[in-house]
Amino acid sequence: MKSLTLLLPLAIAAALSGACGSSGGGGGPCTPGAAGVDTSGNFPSSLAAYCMVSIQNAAVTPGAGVTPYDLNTPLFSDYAVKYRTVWMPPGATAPYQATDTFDLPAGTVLTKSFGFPADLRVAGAPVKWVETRVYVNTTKGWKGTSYTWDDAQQSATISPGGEILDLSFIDSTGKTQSPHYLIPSQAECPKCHANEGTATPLGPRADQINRTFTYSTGAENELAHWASIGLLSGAPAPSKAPVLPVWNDPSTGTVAARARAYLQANCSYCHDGDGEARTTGLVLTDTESNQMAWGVCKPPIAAGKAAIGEKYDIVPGHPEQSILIYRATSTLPSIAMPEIGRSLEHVEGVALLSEWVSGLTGTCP
Amino acid sequence: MRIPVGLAAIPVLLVAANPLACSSSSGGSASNPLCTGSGRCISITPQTSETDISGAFAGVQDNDTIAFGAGTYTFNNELALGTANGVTVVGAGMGQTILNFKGQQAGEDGIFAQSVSNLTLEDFTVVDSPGNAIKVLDVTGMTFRSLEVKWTALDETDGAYGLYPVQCKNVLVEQCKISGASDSGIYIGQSQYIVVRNSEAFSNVAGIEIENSFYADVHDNNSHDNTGGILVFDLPGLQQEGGHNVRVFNNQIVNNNTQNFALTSDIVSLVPAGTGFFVMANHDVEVFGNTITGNNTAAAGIISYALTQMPANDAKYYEWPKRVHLHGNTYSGNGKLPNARNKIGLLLNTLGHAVADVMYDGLTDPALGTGPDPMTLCVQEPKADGVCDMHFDKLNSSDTNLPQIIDCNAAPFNCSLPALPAVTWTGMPQ
Repeated sequence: MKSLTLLLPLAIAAALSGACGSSGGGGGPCTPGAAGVDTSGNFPSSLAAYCMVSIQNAAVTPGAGVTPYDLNTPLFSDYAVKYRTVWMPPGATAPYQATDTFDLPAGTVLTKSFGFPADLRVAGAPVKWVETRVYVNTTKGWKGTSYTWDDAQQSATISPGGEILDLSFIDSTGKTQSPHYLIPSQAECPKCHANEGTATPLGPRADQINRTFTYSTGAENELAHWASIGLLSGAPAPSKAPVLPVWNDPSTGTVAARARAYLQANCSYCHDGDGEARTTGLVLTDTESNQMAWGVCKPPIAAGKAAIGEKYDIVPGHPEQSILIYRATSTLPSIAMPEIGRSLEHVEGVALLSEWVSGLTGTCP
Repeated sequence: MRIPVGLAAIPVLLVAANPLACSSSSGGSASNPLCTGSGRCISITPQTSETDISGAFAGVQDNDTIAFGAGTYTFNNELALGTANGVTVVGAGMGQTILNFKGQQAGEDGIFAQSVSNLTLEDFTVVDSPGNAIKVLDVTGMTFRSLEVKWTALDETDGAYGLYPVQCKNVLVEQCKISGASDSGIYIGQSQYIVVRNSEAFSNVAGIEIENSFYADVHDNNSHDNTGGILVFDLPGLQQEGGHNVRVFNNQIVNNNTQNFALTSDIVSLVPAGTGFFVMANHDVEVFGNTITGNNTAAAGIISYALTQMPANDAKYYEWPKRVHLHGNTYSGNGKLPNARNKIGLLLNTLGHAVADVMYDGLTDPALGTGPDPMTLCVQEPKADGVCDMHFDKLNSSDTNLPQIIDCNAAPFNCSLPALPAVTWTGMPQ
């Protein structure tokens, strides 16, 4: 019997109801969800169909009624700059909660665009946008996919299987960096976003958005802004809400507080009670109080060769003996943490973690 | 050809309905002999791009089959499976369909799946993944059949785990062949209801590991030329602890004398080369009918976690082995040359003679008193001196008195325990 051969590149138009008429980026104004966002768990082939963001003059620009936001301490992604947006169906709102990710209503669409300036030393240098990830609260739960931008920065096309792009930019020290930048496949989204099989967003938390953002209408606290335009209900004044320290702003917290915030943002989505790394016993949330659980004198369980011959995840006073620091530094796929999304060392992040571990006291057996 | 809605926007691989199941397909979809499932079948050939293969994995629907034709496939990203139940990934056979991850740049695992049910992986080879070869988390009904996993460097640069189901239920491993893992070839962690049978593990640090797991039958395997053959143990600080109801029977556990090439500090780096079998900190373990031959340090060990000299700091953890029953095993040529690179091996070397088939560390739960066999360890083997109690509880601080304290006498362990029930589950393949 003859075996099948494949790959019929079928260009099938996305039959997305409610897709706006304008083409790709640079088109005219377009209103998200005019006929409702497709919440069935299927994705249109073009990002433009959502009307969430477009690229105008090298800047990601939100569509009408789409709210940009930023986080106090974001995930490191190979030095990519990021632009995040939230959109909820008209009239929908999320109840405020002080901890964990907000319970965003059905039909909510989050986007996160990733781009690289050619030279990080040049303030305001134009950004080459690589991809925009879309995360939709569908009838089947949160589903995500990535859209990759064309060279002309006019349109972004779905990339369900993802790919690795070899990119290049000059970092803040003048050195050329060449990340193997990962555009994740749809099946990789749950690696970070799933909690025992249930997917959730990660960024929209009270402590992450309790910060100032410069909107087109002026500067305002994000939490207050979300409350004022109805995205959140029952939110207290920002002064009464928690604030996650900004990892690289010493005015926002001690080294320890900022290091724990960094681990919270970069690690705890897996390293908590129900994330993918729940099998390891290492818990890197900023609220974990058991020292051994967050790594102090904790033997690695299944690190395999990533344990590099050291005995513990964290040895107080000794970043050079701490497996956590080693894995946060390494760029080898079998050793690097997080498992995906980082192919370069985050030099400044590792420096913070090392400073923190250096200052810890105590001895291991 | 009908293109399912979920794939409508994707550059689509050829999706054919199984000709045996229904005949709705049209448009030239020839039947693929690898497509024997009830659902859609997605055919992949060596000409298919990695991004399209990843897209196919991401877009799976319930009961799909993904069929890899014969040939070699190279990957630079991990291959993650989407969320669908009843999926089968099948190749043209071990050594025929080869998934090569040597150039992998992202992801700690070659193939990864989580939180699905009834996943079957069969008939292909995975080579040289930098991290683990195949990891599955939280899968109920996981079958690994006729898979080959191998690493070729045979040093610590090899990946850690070959088959790596963790927090899974109803796990079947059969007719697999796993070699070169720098940690464990076949590793079952924090899982329940497990059968590992008719498989071969060699040239790994640990051949087969059953860790923090309940209800496992490990039988009719050939675990040879590893550092340690078959290891059953429990570690602290994990979500599932208290490993129990493990049967190890009718296996060949032969010549496990490969120098330990795990990095120091990896828990398996503590295993002395020349270890046939050991059980650590599990209860209700039955070991019978095995042929244990030519393992130079010891045929079998019964030990406590305390022997690792690592901290537990876990109030719910139980560090001692309890109710372990060895009977009817065949031993020959073991313990002749305990491995001197390892502390325990070095201690055994001080005896100046071959040790017994079964070595016990002598550490006991103080709550159970100080009787002759407080942990109910039963060894019913022919040799009167077939068990050595090393009495590490009496070891002096300079580790020099082992020849005086070791007690090689099977009599205290001459007891029996009821046979443990066979492991099975509804729908288990026969």
